[in-house]
Formats: sequence, C-alpha cells, structure tokens
Amino acid sequence: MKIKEILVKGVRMIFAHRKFVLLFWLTNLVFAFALSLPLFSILQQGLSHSLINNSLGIGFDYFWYVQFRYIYQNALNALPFLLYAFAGVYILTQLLFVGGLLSVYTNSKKNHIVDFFYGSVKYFMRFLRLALIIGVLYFVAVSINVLFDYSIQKIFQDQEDAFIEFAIQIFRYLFFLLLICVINIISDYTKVAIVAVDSTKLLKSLLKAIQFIKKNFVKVMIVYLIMLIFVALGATVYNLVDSFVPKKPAYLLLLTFLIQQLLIIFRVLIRMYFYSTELIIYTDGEAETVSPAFEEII
Amino acid sequence: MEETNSLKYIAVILLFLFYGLLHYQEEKKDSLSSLPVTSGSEALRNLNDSDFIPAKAKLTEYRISASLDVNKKILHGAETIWWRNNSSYPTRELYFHLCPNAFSNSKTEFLKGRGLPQKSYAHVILNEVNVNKTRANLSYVLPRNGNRFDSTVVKITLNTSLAKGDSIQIDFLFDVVIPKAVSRFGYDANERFFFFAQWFPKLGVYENGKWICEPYYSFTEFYSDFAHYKLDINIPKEFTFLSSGDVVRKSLDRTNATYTVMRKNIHDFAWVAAKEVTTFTDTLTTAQKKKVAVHYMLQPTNEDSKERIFTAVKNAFIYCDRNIGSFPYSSFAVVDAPVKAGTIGAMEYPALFTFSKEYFSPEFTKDVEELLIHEFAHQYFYSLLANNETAEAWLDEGLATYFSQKILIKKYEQRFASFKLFGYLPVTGMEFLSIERIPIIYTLTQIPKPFESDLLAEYYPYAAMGSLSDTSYQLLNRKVYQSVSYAKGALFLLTLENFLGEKKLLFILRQYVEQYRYKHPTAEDFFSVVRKYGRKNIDWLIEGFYKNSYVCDYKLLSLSALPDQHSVEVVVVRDGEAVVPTEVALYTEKDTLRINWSGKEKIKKFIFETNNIPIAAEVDPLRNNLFDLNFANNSYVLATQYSGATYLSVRWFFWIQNLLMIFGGLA
Repeated sequence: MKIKEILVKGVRMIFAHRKFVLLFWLTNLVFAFALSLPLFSILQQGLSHSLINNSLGIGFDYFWYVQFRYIYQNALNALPFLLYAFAGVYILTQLLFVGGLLSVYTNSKKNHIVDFFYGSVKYFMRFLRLALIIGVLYFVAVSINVLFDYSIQKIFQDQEDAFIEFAIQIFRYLFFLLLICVINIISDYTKVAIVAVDSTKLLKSLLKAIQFIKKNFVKVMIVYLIMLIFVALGATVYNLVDSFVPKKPAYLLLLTFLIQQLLIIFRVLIRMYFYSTELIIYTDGEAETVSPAFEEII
Repeated sequence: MEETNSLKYIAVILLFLFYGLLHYQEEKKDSLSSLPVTSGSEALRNLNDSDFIPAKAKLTEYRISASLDVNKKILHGAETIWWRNNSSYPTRELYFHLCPNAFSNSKTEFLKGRGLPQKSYAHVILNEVNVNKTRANLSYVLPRNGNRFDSTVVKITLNTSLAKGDSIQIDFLFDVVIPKAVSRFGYDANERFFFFAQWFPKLGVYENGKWICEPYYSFTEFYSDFAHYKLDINIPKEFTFLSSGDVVRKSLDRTNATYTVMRKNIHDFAWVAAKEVTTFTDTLTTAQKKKVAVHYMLQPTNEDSKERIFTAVKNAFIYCDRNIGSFPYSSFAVVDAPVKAGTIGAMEYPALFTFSKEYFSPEFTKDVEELLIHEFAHQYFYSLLANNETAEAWLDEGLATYFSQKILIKKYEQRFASFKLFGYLPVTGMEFLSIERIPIIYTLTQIPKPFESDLLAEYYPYAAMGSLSDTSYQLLNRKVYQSVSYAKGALFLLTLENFLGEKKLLFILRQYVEQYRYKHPTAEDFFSVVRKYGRKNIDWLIEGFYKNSYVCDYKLLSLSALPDQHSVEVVVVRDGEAVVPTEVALYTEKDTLRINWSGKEKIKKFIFETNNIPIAAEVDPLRNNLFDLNFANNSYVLATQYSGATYLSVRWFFWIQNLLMIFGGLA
C-alpha cells in the first residue's frame, strides 16, 4: 500500500470512530483540571484582593513571579512529583483506552462504546505488561543519553571549542529523540500486533513487531514522521493564532481557551491517526491478520 | 713505591676534586635552569639603578622582575618592596600574602576539602628572602581557626622596631608553580592564556597598630594597601601582554619580549599573557577632556561581539565618569578570558578587569553587558577606595551591583526572560519543567524581565541568613555571601535611592568616592557621608538591613467604608522585624488620597476622610521598599479579583494538557 493510501484510509478510520475523540479529550481535560486547581487556588488565595491580580491579566509582572516562587517554594518544589504521579495514572487510562480503540479499529461492526470498553478491559493487562517492558527500554535510553552527556562533558572539559561541543550535544539530543521515537514505535506496533491476532504472548508479539518494523522500516518511519510534522504544524498554527488574540477585555480569555482546546482535540486526533495508520501498515504487511470486518473499513 | 703511593693519593684527591666539581656544576646547572631568563639576582641589581624608586618612599613601592616559562608552567620572580611605616604605631613584624599557596593542597581555607585535578595545584617557592639585604626568616601565620594546611600568610619578625616614618627594604627571590586555572589565576585548557592575579608576595595592611593580612578565603576577595608598582615581565614573544600598568618600555630578544610596566597608587597588579587572541585599543574621554586608553584582549570567537563589548564598556565609563567621579587611570585593560579558564573571566583588578562570554550569548540576554558594566564599576570602589573586602565586601560588591543595575536600566531598553534550550542555547521565554534539559513545560513568549529582579531572586532565599555588617568571610557559604554582599547590598542602595531620591544619592556617592579615594573606607565612613549629605534619618535602614538581617512584609489587611459615609478605614499590618517608613494610598472612584506612615506599628488603622466610593488601598504604592517580601499583599481591592489568577491558570491548564498528551503518547 502506498503512503498516500495509508494516510487517506487512516483519516477515514478516525472519522468512523470520531465519538472516541470526545472520550480522550474529556479524560485529558479532567486530569488537567485536577492538576490546575491547586495552582488556581494558590493564586487566588494570594491575589483575590490584590491590585496585582488585575495587572497579571494584562501583562506579566516578573517581580511578582520572583516573589511567588519564593513564597510558595515548598509547594512548587513538590509540583513536579505531583505532575509525574498524575501522569502515571493518566498513562494507565491511556493504556486502557488504546486497547479499546484498537479493538474497535479492527472490527468496524463493533463500534459501540461498550465494545470499546470491552476491548479496553480485554487488553489492559497485556498492555500494562508491555508498558513495563517499554518503561525499561525508556530507562535504558535515558541512561545511554546520560552516559553520552557525561562522556561529552568529560571530553570537552579541557577544550574551549564551544561550537563543536554544542554540535555534538545536539547530535546526542537527536539520537536520544530517535531512540525515544523507535521505542515509541515498537510500543505502538506491539499493541497493534497483540490486537490484530488477539495474542496473549507478549514477548512473541514484541519480537514480531520489531521484525515488522525492521522489514518495513522506511514506510513505518515516513508515516511516523508525517504524524510528527502534523503535530508540529498544529503547534505552529496555534502559536500564530494565539499571538493575535488580545488579552483585553477579559472575556477574550475564553477565546484563548477555545483555541487551546482545538489544539488539544487536534492532538487527540493525531494520536488516533498514529494508531490507525500503524494498524493499516501492519495489517497490510502481515496479510494473514486482516479480519473481514477490518477489511470492510479500509 | 712511595712515588706510586703519592700518585695514588693524588689520583684519589683529583677524583674527589673532579667529583666535587661535577656535583657543583650539576647543582649550578639545576639552579640556573630554574632561574628566569633575566636571572633574579641580575634583576635585583637592576633595581637599584631605577629612578622610579626614591630612597625613602612615602608610599610602598613594589619592583618586580618576572619571567614566564610557559612550558614548565613556572613563573620566576625577583621582587623588592620598600615599605614605610606610615602609621603612628611601631611594628617589629611584617606580614605577607602568599596567595598561590591557596592551591597547594585540598585543605587550605580556599579549597576547604575541594579536590583539584593534579595540574591545578600550585604554590610559591621562596628561594631567598632578605630584609635590608640581610637573610631573613619567615614563619607561617595560621588562620584564626588554626588550619595548619593553610600557608597563604607569612610573617617576618624584625630585629628592630620600625617607628613611624621608618622604611625597610624586603627582597624576595621566588618561583610560582602556575596552576591550570580553577579560580582567578592560572592557565587555560589550551595553554594559550596565562593569567596572573595575587601571584607575588604582597604586604598586608598595617593599620591602627595591627597587621590585617587575612588568608585567601574561599569566596571573599582581598585587602591591600596602595603602592607604586614597576615591573619587568618577560614572556615568549608570540604572546600578547596586558596588565594593570602602562607599558613604558618593550624590548625583544630572539625568543622573548620584556615589558616594563608601571602604575602608581594601586593596591594589586594583575597581568595576562595570551596568544591567538585579538587586541584592540579604544580611546574614551572623561568629562574633564582627559583621554583614557582602553586595551581590549578578545578571544577569537568573540570578535563578532566587539561592538557590543565596546558599547557596554563605553556606557559604563561615561555613566560612572559623569556620576561617580573622574576615571582614575590613564588607561585600563579589558580581558576576555576563555570560558573554561576557571573563574578568571569575571574579576576586577586595578586598571584591569576580566569577563567571559559564552559561545551562545544573544544580545537580548544582556549577560555580557551586565558582567562588563559590573566589573567596570569596581574600578571606583574596589580599585580607587579599596575597602577591606574580607570584612565588608558589600561596600564594593553592593555598590558595583547598584551601579551596574542603574547603567543597565538607563542605557539598555529592556531585557526579556530567557532560558537555555538543551542547557546551551538561550531563547526568550520561560521554562517550568524539563527532562534531561529538554523543555517539557515552557513558553517562548517575550516576557520583560526587570534588571533588578535577579537581585530579588538572589536575596529572598537568604534574606535572614546574614546582615551587611557580618564579617564577609565568616558568612555561611558562597551563596549567602553573594546574596548578602551583592544582592542585599544593591537592594540597600536602591531602597536608599527611593527614599532620598536618585539625584541626591548620586551626589552623596560622588562625595563618598571623592572623600575616601585611596583611604580604605569602612561602612561607618559611608554612613557618615550619607548622613551628612542626605539630611534624612536612615537609622531604620541601617538597623534593619545593615546591623541586622531583619525581613519585612507590609500587608494591607482590610479596607472598609465606615457607617458615617464620609470616611474609609484601612488596616495595615507589618510582618517581620524591619521598619520602613512608607506611604498608604486610598484609591477612590475619583481620586487618590495618601498618608505617610513611619511604618513602626505592627498593626495600624488609617482613617481617610472622603465622600467618594473607595475602590482599593495600597501600602507602599511606588514599591520603594525593595525589601518587602510580598508586593501582592500590599494592596486590597474591595471587589474580588479573578482575571490574573484565571489567566495564569488557563495557561497552566493548557500546558498540563500538553504534558499529559506527551506522556500518554509515550505509553
């Protein structure tokens, strides 16, 4: 199948299951709300009757920011841990939902929310075990990155050539991002491989996915890159539009919020697009896995 | 038989003589190889035919001949000091700094257990010490804490007492093992840049009947007396030379160049020998039409920033010359140190200062400008006044920081907040969360960042951990030292300026510099000038932030219209021990009413007579008190406010949504 075909069919598949966009978006909204509420509460507690409150709505007061960071330093220092903890729970919900999404993708006749959650529950434990293995791979990638960083710093600690050092560091970051992308692709295709044949053999599916990626490397990477370009384009368009939205009067904040949510919905769609294209590529490459129901959609 | 025996004896004697001669030659060869190209004794002989040194100088005179061996990383030196007891007290001792010994082992006061790479250890070897041409013995002076590993101070006990007006000549023959730079002194990683600061035996300061000669501490700077300096410095001729002095003669031989340099009335002498650097000379003119030559030494990577560097130095020069006093030297040097040459690149010396510019340093960060202007301002306070930096560092660092803030505000439009992408590339915006230096939660918008905000950020964490009157070297650690000496010192002056007015404070500082040039002023001297010309009571400032490390937070507790409909009650609270006179303002629908307040009461009710409807009230509306820990609670608006908190929360909400999308995608 050509890349253009994959992309077109991927879009069709998303829109055939568009109601799940709402689910992904609402989950994101609820988690973000839970994480933003403490900040709003802290801000409102300190600013509810302050003249600074109003001025912060118009422009950023850096003096206030320095003081805020100092006054709430304990709470702010704990914030990253809170974020990571919530992100951990969020990842679990995503594992749950991806199982549902892939199962309804593979069977268009079962496009009901009940089927979605049936698939979610069915694949959750398999995906969780996979996530643990993938987590180890991420840990290895981070360790390699740290080791490279340390080595580069050691090599350059006695050298003044800042540009070469920077260039090498950029290569390190690119390599690190590449590793992350590859692990991400492996994770995605393993999920696809599990769902496509309803496999319970995790390691076998993982190896099969790796072999598949190896065999179809160019196609897999091109489609993955196209998806990343869509993400970058979305962010660029958002930043451009956002820069034109005035800060006053205050109700324009609602417009900003709407634009932000459009970007988040767009990102949810792209995430679904990732899975739909990956499923199409996989089923195209591994013909024996295609179910009749799946064929109907594509 | 007898003849054979005699021959044997003669042979043995000759053998001994030959062995002795060989041994003698070897010793001579060794000692010669460690001597400078112009040997120390030769240099000492040359000293006597100088017309620079009067027989009985009124001020201390240093005459140094030094030769740099870049291959062995050794500096050979011969030094003569003429010292005159200018105090009313006699002395039988002379104290000297031997600062390179701070790098002699990891347990010195300077290193305090911090290990160094082998190449970064250094020390002074004193080959010969004479007092009035007679061999003298030195003894080490231990720091107050009895640290036996510190040998940065030595003393000579004299046979006779030196009364007021008596002079003495001290000669040193010394070698300095040069360290690979970790701090202030040494050579860079590429061995192309050799910087010398606190490198020669230097007298302490004899005042009020005692020697002040502190060890080389880990974070404070120095205290020395003014003197006349004349040096002959011999370096490989492919190296470029800059120093605290004016070059009066340069001679070349096959391999080396010798620079004769002089400067009067300075209290330290730094110099640099570097190759593969670019040098420029610019000329600046003082308000009195005096020409001042500025010698720049730039790293090749920074040539593109030449104009930026020139402009920053020129801005600082003009502002200080017009507002503090006429620039004291006929020339000065600006040295761009390699980034990885320890902390050489951010230091001030008389008529010479250093800076470093990172490879990625876009103009919007203003970091190079800030550094250059700060180091330039030291030429007045560190160089010209020369207070005791080990005890009252803020008098120099605080004033230099204050002036650098003022110059930045006046000469540069705006600075934007920035962060370093991947730890290298500065970009405008703010970073709130990153993993492996990859920004995760960030914004790339242009956020104005006032220059003073850095002072606040540095001050708050250590606000109560040290007062300006604390002896600088005894402060808890480097961070507290920087917070107190730089940030608190500058905030003290900025608050004083807000209280007295800019024009008046600049006038006072001009008088202070004029009155105490070359006199090592103390904080009390400074305050006496402020009191004399300020004509306002500043005891609250001295009590709160100089003598004590008090903190303060003025808070507007409530605002309510009284039942009579003609008056409004405003309640203000003072948290913290510091007292700052201030103003309370009431904003009504039609006008603003103001009341001055001494700021003394812990809680104070103000009644404003008005028929207008009150909207808000504010204590210290002009933010004059920069020590206030929280400006947000300085005001009270009757109607509950939401817009700012909502705006920021909505932004945060969106960032979190994106963060979750990233993590969700990775799973």
